[in-house]
Amino acid sequence: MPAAAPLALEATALAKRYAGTTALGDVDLRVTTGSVHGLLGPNGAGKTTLLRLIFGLAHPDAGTMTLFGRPVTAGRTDPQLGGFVEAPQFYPHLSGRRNLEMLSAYDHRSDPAHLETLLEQVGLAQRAGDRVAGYSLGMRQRLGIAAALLRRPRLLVLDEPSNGLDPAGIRDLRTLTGELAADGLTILLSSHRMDEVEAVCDAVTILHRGAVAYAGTVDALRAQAPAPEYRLHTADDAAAVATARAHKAVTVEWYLTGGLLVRAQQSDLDGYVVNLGRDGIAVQALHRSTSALEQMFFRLTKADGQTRGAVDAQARQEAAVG
Amino acid sequence: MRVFRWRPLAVIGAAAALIASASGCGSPSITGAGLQRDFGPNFAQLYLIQQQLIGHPDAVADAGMHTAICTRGGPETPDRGAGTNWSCQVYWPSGPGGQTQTLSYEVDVKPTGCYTAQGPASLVGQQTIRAVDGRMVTNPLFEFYGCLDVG
Amino acid sequence: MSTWTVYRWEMEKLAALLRVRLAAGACFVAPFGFAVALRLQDAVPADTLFGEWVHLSGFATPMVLLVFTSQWALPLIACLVAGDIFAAEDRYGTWKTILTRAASRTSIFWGKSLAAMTYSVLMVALLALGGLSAGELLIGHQPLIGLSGTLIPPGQAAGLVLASWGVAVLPTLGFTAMGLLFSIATRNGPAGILTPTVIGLLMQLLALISGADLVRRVLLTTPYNAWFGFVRADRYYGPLLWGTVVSAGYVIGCLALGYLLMRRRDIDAG
Repeated sequence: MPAAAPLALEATALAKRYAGTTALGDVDLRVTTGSVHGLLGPNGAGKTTLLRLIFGLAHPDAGTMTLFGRPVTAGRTDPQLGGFVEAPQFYPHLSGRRNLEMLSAYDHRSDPAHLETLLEQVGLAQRAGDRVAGYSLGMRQRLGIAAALLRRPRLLVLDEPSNGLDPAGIRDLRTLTGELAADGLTILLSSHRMDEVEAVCDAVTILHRGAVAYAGTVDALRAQAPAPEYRLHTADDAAAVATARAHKAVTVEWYLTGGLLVRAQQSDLDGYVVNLGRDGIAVQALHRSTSALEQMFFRLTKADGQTRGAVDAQARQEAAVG
Repeated sequence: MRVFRWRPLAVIGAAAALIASASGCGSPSITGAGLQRDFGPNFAQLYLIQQQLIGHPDAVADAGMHTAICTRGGPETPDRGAGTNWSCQVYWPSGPGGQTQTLSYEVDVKPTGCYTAQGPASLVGQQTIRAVDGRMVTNPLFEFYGCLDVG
Repeated sequence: MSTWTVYRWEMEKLAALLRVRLAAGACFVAPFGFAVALRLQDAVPADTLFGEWVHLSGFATPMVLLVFTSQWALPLIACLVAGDIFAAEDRYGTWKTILTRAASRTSIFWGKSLAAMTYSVLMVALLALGGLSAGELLIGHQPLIGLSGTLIPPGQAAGLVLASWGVAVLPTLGFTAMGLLFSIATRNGPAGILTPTVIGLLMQLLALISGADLVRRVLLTTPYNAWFGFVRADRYYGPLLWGTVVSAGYVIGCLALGYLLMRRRDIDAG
């Protein structure tokens, strides 16, 4: 990414307190035009507060923001900005289409063809005439994306967009964000999941307890990352641990629930697995439980023991299921 | 989210109470003079309507009937303000001789300035009377009301 | 321009609400039920202004209805929409949905406020027309005995009935503005609807127990009586003028405060 690329969003020293607690303290955020930027952090890290400030929904206590060079005023949303904060919400007694028509009117726009295209694009064309009250969480999420794109923004802000989407929905969403990014749209994607950010983002800002824990490209983050974690099952785990002693770059621990936890970079892991075979130890299963970036994310947000534990446990559980 | 926020409510309530208490002075504009100015003509007009109902369309209400004297409570009570203890005296043409008779209405004046007056049934008739066409109708003079201009 | 867009959509959303449809239906139909009840029984509500004449003239029906409803029903009917129109956005979590559009907070505030006011005026009009037609159809259009004991001919009586209800619009708009303020301040629909209604009742009570004219004059319930001055032969308009000033004061005060709260508010939930 060229360093001189103009900034779509530049926030400097933003701070926001709610009833004595600091939601955000001295946060900088730089989103390059044309990039897909991840905003990552555990729940309660300040992502939502930051997004509310960007949308002008809340008034910052300190700091400045510019959007494509123009200062952001609290109390109104810049016309170049589209998206949603937290779960998108609509009027339940109006249909999906009527909701979009209303938002379109509130934007002083009227482009029925564009509206229908968007409904088609998010897969809601069939159900657009139904009242939103009958929509599933995933359908509301799709409607939220359509509503965000309605005003043809230059910066699209999505807050946990894959919430409530089934795997097929998540795949469609990734395809859509990819297409939008390819068309030159700048995207700020907020998420608590590293894998989601890793899949679509060029750069990432990691928030932790209202402060920036990391800001930079995903590649740079990956370079700093510790070895990924793998789960290994062999015919003879004790022998496999003994074999590991010959590999300095590989650490092996016992899982309480059975199997081995292996930390190693890919090339070292390859060498270890070859040696296992050479020693006559059959490898029954080997899969990655935590990616390098996830490891990095956990490390950056580690101070928050409770959250880390929860996320960690969740990650392991998902790995075990998968 | 259903969050009930008390603080703005308390501020508004306090402001309203302040305005209410700050303006809690001034004199009532319900007076005996005001009441009798309204009462007399009201009575005279209703007398005509009553006479029409019972078949005397050519009845007239002379100047005397338009005059009332209204007082409140005993001699020590000032004749002003809302209350149930008002009374108004008006004149009633008692017979063909043209002689008049004084009759007294009990009057309840509300703070809004509106009053209800109840008269002696022996002279003005019962609550319902038989109209000239045979129907039973409300007697306009048994009980009637009016409103004073209290600004 | 933007305010007009918001107003149009708010009106559409209101028209889709069951609560609003029921209120509108009740405002027109209830007077007929009232007139039927009056016709069926011999007793009359004699302690109410015009109560004595409900069998004598159909024009007494809308007047008695006005006396009854202005005690507490009109503030409640007005706040049924006004007290919830802002709080509904909190309930649905849709503040962020509409506030991230080009329409400003100012135009959303005015669009919603105007929509609530329109609804209030419509409900008063429905009650007035319902009462007038119920009295006319079920009792008849005999002359009405005015507050000064004089007979008012039918044509004039109809005009005075409508004028009296027209006057009731003023304090009703005051209560509407109060509902809007509490809707913004409490962010809670039931609180926005009930608080002004309770304030209205307290004002009625205060007017009854306090003899002081100044207190009575600043109460928003007093302008409901402003028609006392003109449904009679010798008319006076002082209460109407002052009632207009007081109602306007409440409307302006409540709207100004509501506007400030809305402008300063952080949309930090939902």
